[in-house]
Amino acid sequence: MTPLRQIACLLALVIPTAAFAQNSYLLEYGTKPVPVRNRTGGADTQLYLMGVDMGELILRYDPNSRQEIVIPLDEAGLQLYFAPPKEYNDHIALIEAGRYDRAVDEMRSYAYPLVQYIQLPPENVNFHPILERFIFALSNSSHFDEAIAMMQFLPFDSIDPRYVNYAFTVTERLVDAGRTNDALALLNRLPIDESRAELLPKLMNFANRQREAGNMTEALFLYERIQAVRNSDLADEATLWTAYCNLEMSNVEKAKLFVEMVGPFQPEQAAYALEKLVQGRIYLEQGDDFEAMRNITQGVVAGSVSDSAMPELLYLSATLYEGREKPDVAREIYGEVDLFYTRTSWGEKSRERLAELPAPTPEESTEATQ
Amino acid sequence: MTPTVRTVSFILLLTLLGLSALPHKGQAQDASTYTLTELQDEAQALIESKSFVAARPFLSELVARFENESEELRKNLEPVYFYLGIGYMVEYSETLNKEELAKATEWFVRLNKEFPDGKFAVMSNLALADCYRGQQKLKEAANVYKRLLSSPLEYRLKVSEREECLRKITEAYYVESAWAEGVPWFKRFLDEARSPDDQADAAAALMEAYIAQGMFNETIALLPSLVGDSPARYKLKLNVALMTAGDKLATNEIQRYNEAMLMYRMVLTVDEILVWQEARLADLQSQLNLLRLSSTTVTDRAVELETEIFNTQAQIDGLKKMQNEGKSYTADLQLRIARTYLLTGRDWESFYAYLALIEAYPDHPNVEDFLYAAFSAATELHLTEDVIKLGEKSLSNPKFKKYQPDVAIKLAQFYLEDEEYEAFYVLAQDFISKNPDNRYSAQFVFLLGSAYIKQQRIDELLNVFSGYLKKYKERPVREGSLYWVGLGQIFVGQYVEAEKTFTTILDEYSDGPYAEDALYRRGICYFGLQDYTRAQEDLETFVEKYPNSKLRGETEYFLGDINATLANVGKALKHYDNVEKYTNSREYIRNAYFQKGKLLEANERYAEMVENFQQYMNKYRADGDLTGALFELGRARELQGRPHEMLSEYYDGIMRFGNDPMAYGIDQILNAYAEKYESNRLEIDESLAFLKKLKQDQAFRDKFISDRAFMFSYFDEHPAITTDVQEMFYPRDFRDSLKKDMTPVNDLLAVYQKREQDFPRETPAETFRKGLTQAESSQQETLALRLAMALDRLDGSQSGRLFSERDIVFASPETLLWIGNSVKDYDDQLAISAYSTVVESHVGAEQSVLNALLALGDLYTDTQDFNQAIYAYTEAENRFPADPAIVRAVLGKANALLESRQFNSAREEYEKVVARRDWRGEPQAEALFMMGLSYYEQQKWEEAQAYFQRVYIGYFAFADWASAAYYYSGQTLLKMGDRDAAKRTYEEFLANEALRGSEYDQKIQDAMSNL
Repeated sequence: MTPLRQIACLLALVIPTAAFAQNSYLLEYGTKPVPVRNRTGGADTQLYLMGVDMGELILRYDPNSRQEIVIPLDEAGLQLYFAPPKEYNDHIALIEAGRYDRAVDEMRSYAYPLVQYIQLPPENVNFHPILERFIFALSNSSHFDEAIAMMQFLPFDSIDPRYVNYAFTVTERLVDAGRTNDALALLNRLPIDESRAELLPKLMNFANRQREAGNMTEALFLYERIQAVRNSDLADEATLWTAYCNLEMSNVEKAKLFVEMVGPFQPEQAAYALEKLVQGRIYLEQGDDFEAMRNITQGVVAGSVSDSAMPELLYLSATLYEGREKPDVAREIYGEVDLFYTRTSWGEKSRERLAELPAPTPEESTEATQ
Repeated sequence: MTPTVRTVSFILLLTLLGLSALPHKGQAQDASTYTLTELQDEAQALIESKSFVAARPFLSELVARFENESEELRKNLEPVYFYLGIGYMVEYSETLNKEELAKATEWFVRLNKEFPDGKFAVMSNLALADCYRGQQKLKEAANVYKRLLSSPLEYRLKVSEREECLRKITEAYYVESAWAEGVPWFKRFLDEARSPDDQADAAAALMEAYIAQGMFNETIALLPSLVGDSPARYKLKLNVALMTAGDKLATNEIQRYNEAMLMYRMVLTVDEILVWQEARLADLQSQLNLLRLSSTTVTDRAVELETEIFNTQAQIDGLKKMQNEGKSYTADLQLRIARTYLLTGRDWESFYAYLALIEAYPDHPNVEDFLYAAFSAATELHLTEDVIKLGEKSLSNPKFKKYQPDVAIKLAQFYLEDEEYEAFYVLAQDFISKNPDNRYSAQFVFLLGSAYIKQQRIDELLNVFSGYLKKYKERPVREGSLYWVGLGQIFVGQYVEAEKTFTTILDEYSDGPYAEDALYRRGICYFGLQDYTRAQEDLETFVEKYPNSKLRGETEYFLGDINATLANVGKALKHYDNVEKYTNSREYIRNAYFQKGKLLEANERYAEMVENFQQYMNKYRADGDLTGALFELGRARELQGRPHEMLSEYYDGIMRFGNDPMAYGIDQILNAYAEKYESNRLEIDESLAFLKKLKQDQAFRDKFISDRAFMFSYFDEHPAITTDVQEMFYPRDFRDSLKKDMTPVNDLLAVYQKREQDFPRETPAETFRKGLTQAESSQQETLALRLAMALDRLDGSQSGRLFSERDIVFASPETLLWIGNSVKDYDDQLAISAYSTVVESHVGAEQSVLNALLALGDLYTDTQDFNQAIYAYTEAENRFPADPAIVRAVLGKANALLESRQFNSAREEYEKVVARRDWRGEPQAEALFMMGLSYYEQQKWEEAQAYFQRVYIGYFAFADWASAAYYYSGQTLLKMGDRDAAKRTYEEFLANEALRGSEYDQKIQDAMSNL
């Protein structure tokens, strides 16, 4: 394979985006021939991996020779062994010690050449642990842009789903860095379907963070993706959060539709508390405090302290008790929200309400000092 | 922890040390024969190849040779002791023989004793602690960790070692429940822990320690650490501790219910813990599988995972055992939570919590209590549907006895609130019949009676309670039954019987809850029987005995009426004045003012009458009968001889209230204005003319004075002269005195001249026209329509006015009737709209509604929409059965039925008219004639003839009907072929001058000429 062809193959795997400029390591190292021992069918010969072209693996006995062996990527019985450098164990130790930056710096030279062969099945080659360790280290290192570029390069559709975990790590870091759009763009590349259902909690977590940050459009987009995965436990929850987001955007009728799509839930079901929160909020929007109280209370009673819907359920319950002129009860509930969820927005709102409530009645004062 | 687990963690230690539990290599040799160098070399080689067990003899030999030597030489023994200890640990990992651990312990203890700060101090202490843990000597292990975490050794710890020590010392004290010793370490672990799981573990341990020591405030501060999904939270022991803490806080002595709730809320049920643990197990297994796939060697992480998997499985097994043995505390926890919600005033949560308990544990021994708690909460919250559902569920279970009466009475109240009367009646009667002596039966009796009264089922009320009186001779049923029977008797006008009934209550149950009401009601009975003395006695006694009764206001009103009847004017007025002090009933207050007005009028105390109505209007401006009061005020002015003030008050009232279509009295005042103007105008003019004539015309005066017959004749011809003036001249003496002194006449003349001067010059039409202009310019549409209507009645000036739907919107009921009447000949739809609006939107204007219904009936009849006509007339009859004008509705309906050829139904209606005595006269003449006509239409000549004869014989005074009857009688006889009889009939008519000239006169003449 000519160097040009190698580059072309590499480019073919790369999304032609602006991130291309950040794949300099890929270009620097990615075209290097990779020496492997061919152990296929009991053989033991030296070969060089030269590249992947149109779904086929290109090998040579001699990297400078023009003679090539071309075989399908998923060729049955193929056994290729890659010997990592002797420093590899040290690099593992670095990773285990959490010294990701140094591990990445030192592994680049032999890890990057392997990246373009990531689609080779693990039963055919032995270097996936190397790749995984490298990508893990890269995802957690301070080489943020390099990690992003790597994630943009990887063909998630056709590689082991473990790599999607690392993509989530990078996504979360993007969010923390305030680069929500980049995070969403990356998420959009990730294949989330029934076969990768274990990734849904991460996606849900990410969607919830968007929602909590007030990015409703982004959150809705993500919830929609979760809903699209059939037979998923989280699909109903995602639908309810979709209803919630619509409420936040003042689309009450739409919210009702979404609730009707999935409900009603039983108290023992995980989504029950959330359903009651959404129903309660719908009634509040419609000015029906009585029915709002009915729904919210049911959510409070059936839900648990660690339910994601609980802080808001409790807060709303307290406001409704205030409306029913029971400030003492409201005070206790605000206190509960402040205690358990002090760092959330509901904890903050509860503190504000506590500051504004009248002083407790003498009976309550007595109890508090016991 | 089980030995196997400890073995695994052992391996962990060994691998941390870079060692492995490999079988020793080499052979046991006689080390005593070795030279020192050989010993050292051999030991070194074996240790380097990690054959610690094989190295033991050599190491032991080294110990033997050096242990009694100098300190300088003995310090070489530190590593020897260490590897001897390690050797035994390795051996233990293979044999699981605790004696090996004991021996290892000895070597490490010796090392620590002889070399406390040596090179191997940290590693040996870590190993020693593990040995103790392996031997389940956790306190000893904790002491070792304590040493490691104290100076000077703590400064030699790596970060990971330090974390591990904190973790393990926490675990040790936790497992041993050594709270006092453990708390400082738990705190330290919490402060230094970096991972959320470690923080949760530390918090959990600390929390249990605080709970055990009753330090609840500190416990609560830690609760937030456990909110997440960390493994620490899913420890059974912690959850049980939290529940216990909650119980302690919720005792009667402490009563910290809110904090108890916080504890309970954190508790996870066995089921929840189990589900979580099972999911965690699957996750751990998955992680381990992944790890094995990526690494061929046993890594520390793999060992960790194996340990956790083992521990998790053990917990799962334990939890399942709990479930199978029925030791799950879920129901108890839920009950505690429900109860605590109740105690903290969270009534909504309490309701749903108890409801969940009922649904989850329908066979729980305490389910009756749960049901009652949920039911009570639902009643407090007014969740009517739930109250009924739960109440019925409770009452339908024969095993539930504790709360049944309370449930029954509350359910009854909610049935009534929800207007489920039939269910209520069944429940109430069932309860009374089963529990006549129960104190709740008294309440049921009260509710039952009230319901019958509200629904006006008086017959049933009398029937049921009379039955109770026969059956039950004791309280509480008898007492209440007497009351309701008495009240029912009043309703049906049986005052005599009612009086006896209430007297029985007062005699037999003077201390009972009905005594107060019974005394009042008996007073009313006497009032109804016109025994005013007894009525007064009872009602005055009532006021004295029950001055704060809610019936006081009504009582004052009736006392006012009684005293008025007995001519005790002062007392009557005082009682009327008291009404508004003791009641808020607008009806009674209004009636009191108006009765007072009547009384003052009857006693010619007109100034007070004015004051009375002015006071009423000022006080009850917002919701009183202002137009009624205004009307009376005007009359009072008139009675005071100040008709101009009356007109002024009326006009002011019209302009002030006339734009409110709901101020129904304004239309009446508009009519009254015109009438009063004319009558007073005439009165003033005639009186003035008479007085002037009397003064100026000597001849007239002389005749008037001397000729009494002339005087009466003059007054007869001038009836408008004020009665007061007329009556002045009746006495002869007075008239004679005028011959000498005309002063009385001059004085009177002056009075009337003043009245004439004060009286408005503007005619009502002019006044209304001005008002109309003003109203139109200020867009007071309702007022403008009213004034236009009044003008139209006065001078017909509005007859060409065009109306539209817009006018319907603003018009008052009378105006709507006027509009309807104005347009019905050419725009029946608008007329229908106008009349219908009266009926639908002005229910309070009863007379107008009746007139509108009658007008609708007439209009529909004219437009031949007989069904609608019948409907309208029927509606009128149903709504106003007692109104004198209803005969029009009945006749109208009959006529409509006849028009639509429903002959039998028509005749039924006509029969109603004929049957009522108070409808004697023309209506009956009409009805009989129409019945004849109905038979005529059906060609039933004999029947027709009979009715026509009845009319012209019995109702000849009503010329039109008699004439018609004569005509149709003749026609009928002709149909029957009896020309002679027909002729005689016509001749009889023609001979009666009183009947000639009627509508049928010419017809009969023509018919006669044809015979």
